[in-house]
Amino acid sequence: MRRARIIGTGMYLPPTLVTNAALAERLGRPVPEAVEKNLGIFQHYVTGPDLSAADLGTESARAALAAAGILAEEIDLVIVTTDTPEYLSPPTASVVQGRIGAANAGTFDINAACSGFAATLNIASRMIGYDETYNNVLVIGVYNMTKYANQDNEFFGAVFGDGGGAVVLQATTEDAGYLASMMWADGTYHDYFGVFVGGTKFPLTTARLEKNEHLLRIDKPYPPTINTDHWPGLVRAAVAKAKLTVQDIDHIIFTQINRSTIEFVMQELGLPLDRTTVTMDKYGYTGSACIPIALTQARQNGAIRQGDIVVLLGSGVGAAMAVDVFRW
Amino acid sequence: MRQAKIAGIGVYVPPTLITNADLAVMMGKPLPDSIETKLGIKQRYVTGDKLSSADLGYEAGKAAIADAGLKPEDIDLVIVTTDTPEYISPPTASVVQGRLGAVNAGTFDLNSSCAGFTTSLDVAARMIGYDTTYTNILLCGVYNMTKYVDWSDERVAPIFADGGGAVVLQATHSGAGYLSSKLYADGTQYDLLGIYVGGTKLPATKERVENKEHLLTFLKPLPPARNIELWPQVVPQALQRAGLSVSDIDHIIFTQINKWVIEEVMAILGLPMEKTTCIMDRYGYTGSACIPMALDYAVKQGRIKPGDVVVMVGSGVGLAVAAVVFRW
Repeated sequence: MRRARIIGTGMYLPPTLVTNAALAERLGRPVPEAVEKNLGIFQHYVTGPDLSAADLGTESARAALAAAGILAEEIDLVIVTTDTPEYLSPPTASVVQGRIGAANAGTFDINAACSGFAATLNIASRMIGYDETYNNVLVIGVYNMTKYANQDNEFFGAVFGDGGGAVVLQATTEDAGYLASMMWADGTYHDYFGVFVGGTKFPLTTARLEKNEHLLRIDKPYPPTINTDHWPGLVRAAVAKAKLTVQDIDHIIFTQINRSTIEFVMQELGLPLDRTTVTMDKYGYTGSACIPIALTQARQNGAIRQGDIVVLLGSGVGAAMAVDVFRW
Repeated sequence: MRQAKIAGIGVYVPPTLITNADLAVMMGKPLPDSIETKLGIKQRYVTGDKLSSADLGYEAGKAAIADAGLKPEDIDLVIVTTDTPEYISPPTASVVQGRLGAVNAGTFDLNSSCAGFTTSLDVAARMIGYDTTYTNILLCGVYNMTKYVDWSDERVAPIFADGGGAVVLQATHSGAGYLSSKLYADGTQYDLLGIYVGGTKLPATKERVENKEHLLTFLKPLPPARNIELWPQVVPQALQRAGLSVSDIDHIIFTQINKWVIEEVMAILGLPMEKTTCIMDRYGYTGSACIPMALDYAVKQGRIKPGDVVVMVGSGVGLAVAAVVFRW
């Protein structure tokens, strides 16, 4: 059977480090205790005004290509997943494809908020496995939310970090690669948390800018248990589709927003904490980039070996969640 | 073989009609002759302030589900393709899924500018055909570009219009449905035409909005013959992957921006004009919605019959071109 296999991973962090202590000093007030205690976030990197989403995508794509040992010209499709795009139009994938010289590749962006990377692995794996059209697909997750998150707010300023992560998916007929996915969405949450101004519902106006309405906003709080309610069931359903059980999972990576949520869910699943990788302590919350960043780290740490069952779970506003199961 | 067929089509046109004569009065100056003589655009419908992308997607999506004889709960995945989204985040698909009550569906947006609809047909058809996970996918193309148009610019404003078009793709073993595709992109041309402010490269500021930089902007002139050169190359490449050639085409639908370009391309392909459908005279340019809008018109006019080989070519900024081949 033809499947898609991850043959290379790469990541890129922008150069400017912001620690919680440095942020507290700049703002003249402390970062909320929960940021370190519950979320597990101690520092993050930011692009500043000179870098943006396409830079994060280009650098992480180059790293993934190098790790995979293939040339940009061999790529059939460049997909960028983000909800912090370079422009509204054209897509960020255009800019990245042009810069890396992937001259034989089609392009598109996927926005599924912070479930985007896991959703896109599902999409790309199916595109490869369907027939022989696509052999090498570059999937790039970028997150530049510091451009929208009010940096003078001690919570948003501490939580959100910028970054990029990418994988090369390649066709294989070996018994490895993409096995199954689950997606879940409840779009009745669409107006809870987001970047609401700048689209067609609330066009940009100077009045909206003066009131900072164009920034990332929490208009209604999500139920605090939405992730712990849904993640365990989605993981069980996804591994069941692959004819596996939770105990078969060798490594599992979750959206890196909240360390205590991950600990709770691991306990709920009956899995020891050494079967997951957390990166938010070093990089903050990097949204659509956090899964490939954590995956790259897990690979570098030797936490994922050939033959391992690897589960990736992305979760974000909308609300939307996506889980993928791979055999490494 | 499991394939994806188009099981239902829906269209939504917003209520406000503006003819070229109306527009000339509104703008206080005549429109360039080429709008009518070359582009073939005589009138357009617009949302005004009260409606936006999610409304276009919801209405078209609802109509497509009804046309397929399905209920919202039967849909496994809601995809919205647009470069004029409801918000920056979450994706427009969240809003549409929530409003439709498509409670069993995952969600994502795909942005490939005006190549988005045909690109998404390629994506969705492969997601269905790969295995038995996805049986019914709702794909909505929405375009609300009038929100980004400078209504004082008589060279640009008359072209753009609003609309929504949707299809339900459904799994089938009948031998009909999706056959093949070809995606082409050249991301070095990202800086010709786009909406450049409001993303992460050029964040929204009061100054940029006052200077109208947040609107649809021509940074460089589009090469005039670009589509006339590209489309006749991409179409045979897509057909070849299905073991077909140009002479097998029963009907072909192109991005509806320029009637003269379509006439030139049909002549190069050696196809008579009755094998294509043009709707820009009635609806203006409706971007990521124009392909399903034209498809709906062609089917209702009896121009597409069961067994026909149907090609759809979407083409947009970035640049990106996507051609898909279906057997009806």
